[in-house]
Order: sequence, then C-alpha cells, then structure tokens
Amino acid sequence: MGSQRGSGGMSAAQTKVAQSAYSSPRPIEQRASLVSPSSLIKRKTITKTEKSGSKEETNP
Amino acid sequence: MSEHYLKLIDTGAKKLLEIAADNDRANLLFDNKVLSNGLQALTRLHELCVNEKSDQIIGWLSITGKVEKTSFIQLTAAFLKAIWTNDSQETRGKMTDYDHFVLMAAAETLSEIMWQDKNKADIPGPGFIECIEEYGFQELNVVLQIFIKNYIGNILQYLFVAGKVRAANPSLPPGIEVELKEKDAVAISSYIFSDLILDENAESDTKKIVDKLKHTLYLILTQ
Repeated sequence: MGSQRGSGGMSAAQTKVAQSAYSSPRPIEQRASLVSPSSLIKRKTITKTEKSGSKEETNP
Repeated sequence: MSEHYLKLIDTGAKKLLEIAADNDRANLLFDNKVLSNGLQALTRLHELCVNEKSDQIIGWLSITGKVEKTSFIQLTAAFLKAIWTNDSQETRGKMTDYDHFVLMAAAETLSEIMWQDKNKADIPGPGFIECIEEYGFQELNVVLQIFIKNYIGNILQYLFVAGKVRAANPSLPPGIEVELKEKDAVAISSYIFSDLILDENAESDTKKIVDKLKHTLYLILTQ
C-alpha cells in the first residue's frame, strides 16, 4: 500500500504493526465518560412546518 | 489535570498515530497550510454568521445566484473551494492526503452543524439562511473542536483501512472504525481544547490550536 500524496501510505512492516496492535484490543470502559463535541451542538431551528406555513420555533 | 484524556486513547490508535508521524517526512500532519486555512475559514465564517453578514459570506465565497436558492451543498462546496484556493496551488502542487483529510473534516463539520435533521431535508440540504443561522448559533470553540475531531478521526480511519486491520482481525467488534473518530479523536480534541482560551481572532487562534496539536502528538508518542 503506497500513497503518493504525502501521508506516506504504509509499509509492509507498518501494516503488520498496525494489525498486531488490534489483535487483542483492550476493553476501555472509562471511555464512556468521553463527551463528543458534536453532542454540544445546539439546535436553533426546532421545527419548521413543511407545507402549511412559515411557523418556526427557535430555542431561547 | 486534562492529561486523563490522553489515557483514554486506545493502544491501537496510538500505534496508528506513531505510523503517521514516522511517515510524515514532509511535515504535513500539522504544519499544513490547508489545515490552517481550514481553521481560519471556520473562524471567519463563524464571525460573519454571528453578525448575520450574509452579503459578506456570499461575496467571500463567490456564491452566485439567488440566496434563497442556495443550498447546504452549494454553500459547502464554495466553502471548501475558499479553503483550498486561499492557498497558492502553484507552490503546493497536488492535493495531499492531509489536504484531503482537512477538506473532508471541514465538510463534515458544516454538515453536523448546519444539516442537523437529515431525515427531513432534501438531498441538497437546508437553505443558505438556515445554514448560517445554525452555524452562528454555536460556540466557536465547539465548532473548532468538532473540526479537529473530524480531522484526526479521518487520519486514523484512513490508516486503519490502509493497514487492512479489520481483514487481519475479523473478530474485531463492529464499532472500532467509528470509535477511532468518536472516542480516540474525541479524547485528543478534548485534551487540546480543555485549557485552550480562544480570543476569536482567526490567525492567533489557529496558531494556538496547531501548536497544541503538535504538543499533544508529542505527548502521546512519548508516553
């Protein structure tokens, strides 16, 4: 696997290293505490009627 | 105190980052002009959206046609073009893998924020006004953290596939690829932004984030 676009792709030796790193993945229960920044996205437009009007509700 | 985030990165993801760093002879991983352009463009767009400067957004992104007929897809395409052409293509040559990861991360970030209800919207996505309202409604640090999460996640997912990791380990649980972005990249972006104070200046904030990215990679690889 090779890449001509800057990342260098992955050599055969590196491929083996990557594969063996996942041969016995360890359970990481505490990762459940991670909060994705995506979950912090706020919704301005809550609803928007599609057919019958222009009513729009907005978060305070 | 925020070091605990780095302990939540899986050993496999650390190994993938080690490979990325080893192969990064051109120093493109973080010293990447397109990455800086992306951060600056997201910051500039945020400022214009917060201040409801639709005309300035249209001018900056060279959007033609009527605003009411401009969709998320058109807005995003124009935004990615602005990130790319901000840079001198003559001196950079072809688009690199890392440029690609940046542009993909920027599009994903806009999509997460502007097109939140994908079940309801048509294929072109929501309209221009709704897009900029939703974007301007967010905190800037959240926007930039999502972008960094997506950028790191794209690199990790690319290396996972390039290394044929799943093919070599068919018993891996199904969610590993998603976790590379939603756990490992989240841990890294959470660490980067945990004590970062942004001053909403595109240039200085970009430098702070890129410097912290480099330092964070160093910490991960030397732990």
